[in-house]
Amino acid sequence: MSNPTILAERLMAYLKGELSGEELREIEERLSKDAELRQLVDDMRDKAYITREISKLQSFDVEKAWKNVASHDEKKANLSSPIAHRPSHFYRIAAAIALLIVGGALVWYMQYTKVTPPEISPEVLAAMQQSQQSGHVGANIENGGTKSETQGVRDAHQTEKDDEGNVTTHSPIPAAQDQFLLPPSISTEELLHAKRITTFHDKEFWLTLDDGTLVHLNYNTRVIYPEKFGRKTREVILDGEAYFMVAKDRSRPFIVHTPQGDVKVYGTEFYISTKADDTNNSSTTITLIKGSVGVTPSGGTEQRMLPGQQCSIINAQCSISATDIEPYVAWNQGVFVFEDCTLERLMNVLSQWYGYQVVFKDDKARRALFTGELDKYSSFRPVLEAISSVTDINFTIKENTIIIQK
Amino acid sequence: MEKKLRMTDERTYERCFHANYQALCYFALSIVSDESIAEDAVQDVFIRLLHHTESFDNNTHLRNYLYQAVHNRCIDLLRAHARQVSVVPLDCSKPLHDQVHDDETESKMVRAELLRIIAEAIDQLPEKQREVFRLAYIDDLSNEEIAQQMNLSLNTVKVQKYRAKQHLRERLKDIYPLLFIFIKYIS
Repeated sequence: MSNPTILAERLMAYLKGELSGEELREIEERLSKDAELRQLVDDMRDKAYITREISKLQSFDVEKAWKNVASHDEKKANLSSPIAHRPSHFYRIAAAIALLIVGGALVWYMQYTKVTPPEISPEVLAAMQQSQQSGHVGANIENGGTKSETQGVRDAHQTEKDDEGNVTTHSPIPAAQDQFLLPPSISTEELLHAKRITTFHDKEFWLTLDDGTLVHLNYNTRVIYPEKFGRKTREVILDGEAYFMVAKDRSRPFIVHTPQGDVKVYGTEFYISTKADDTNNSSTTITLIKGSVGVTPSGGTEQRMLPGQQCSIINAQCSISATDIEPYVAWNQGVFVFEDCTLERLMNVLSQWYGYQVVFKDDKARRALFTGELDKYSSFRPVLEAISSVTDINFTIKENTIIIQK
Repeated sequence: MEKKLRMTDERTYERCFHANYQALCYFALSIVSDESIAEDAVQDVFIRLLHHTESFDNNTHLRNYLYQAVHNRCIDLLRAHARQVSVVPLDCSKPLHDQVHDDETESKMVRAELLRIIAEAIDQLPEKQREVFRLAYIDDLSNEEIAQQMNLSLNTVKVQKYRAKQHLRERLKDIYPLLFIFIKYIS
């Protein structure tokens, strides 16, 4: 019995090299006996042939034909009012898919209510553990602005000896409350019921949200989030820097509100920073690592991003450019990566992270360039030693200060 | 778990029409060599299908039936055409799917079916991507020409092309080497 449909399926598998054993022998035998089929396989490997023939196939006017057929049978009056179709001649969408595309995002979403937590790589898990053990985790969590609790490691782990043998301890420095901005799109009402987490001046934190989304907050960062997400969306507010690993939930888009605009998540991993850049102009930067996001600057329209891109919102405009995502991925995994970085900039990061003051006694030293990697969770001393050994720069540690000179 | 397909159900019928019409016409064209006769043959088959009360086990069963029915109708029309008969009655009481074995015919069916699968994958691209894809790879326009025609920026055209490729790669994962060649051509 003729079964062209199944044969076509088999040939597809054959063309893609998926057949083996008995099935492969069968097809090969069939091909050796049938010249027509051999020709067909050759044609299917010819790119120009495929384009030509697809063109031919799609030149048939389905809509017109449908109208013809539908009107032919008076009994089936319903057939003349088809489900929404595209007007274009050449492409038709099967009804189910038409629903999908024609503003059907919600319909599509409604079919997928399963929530899948994000995949956390072993590197990230290791980093989380190391961070905890080395005392770099610390944040304040408040409920709707009332009760506050501190999470993280006690001060005891943060003792260091300076060069004169004095022991100093670091108390976690809470971030200044008034420095956080609120995005214009959120009502104060919603804020009252939300939870608020603020990392300390020199600590990071991993926050797991209601849906399993993992947010890795850098120091001095505030995230406002509901204890439980609503049915339609998952929304949080961010001011600071954070790496998001978002849980998959097609029924509820994940939206991050920042003072400069909103980021809508269609995919999985990205990094957002709302800090002012070096020139002190207020801006929000979004770096997309995996998946897909759309950025809507306040008062603007949504712009989609591709992985490997960075979007800067400056003056309510999106500026997208290609960027190296490695440093962000590395940071999330517990490593500082820096390339052609001035010592000044490097010390800025380290001083903030380790909670030290930095004093440059020599201006030339500021401009020295460094490329390398740093483990976030070990002491910075070996780094300073390494720098000293390859340059003529000297580091002296006195109490809470690193003094740099040549 | 496949539900049986009944042609008496309007939505099933319509979906069947839209999913298979073009591929069946392509197939018919390979027999009759004339577009309008090809379309007539296919439409006749679908009209006949309206009265088909038995249900089909699945899409494979349905498609095999359709290909055979179109083939038979094409032969009828060709014969009539040769005899200079202008009207070929469509006898709804006679079954249209009597088996006619012919190696050449079968390979024509398989050919149409393979192309149908590819065309379906392209159709399922999001609208903008599909448009860009069509203009770029079927109409063979340059990026600038596409940008002009669709009133998009050059960058958007490139992005849409990229996304279309990604989508197709996903969708056509099951015919990878084919796609690979296709994609190579695209890039």
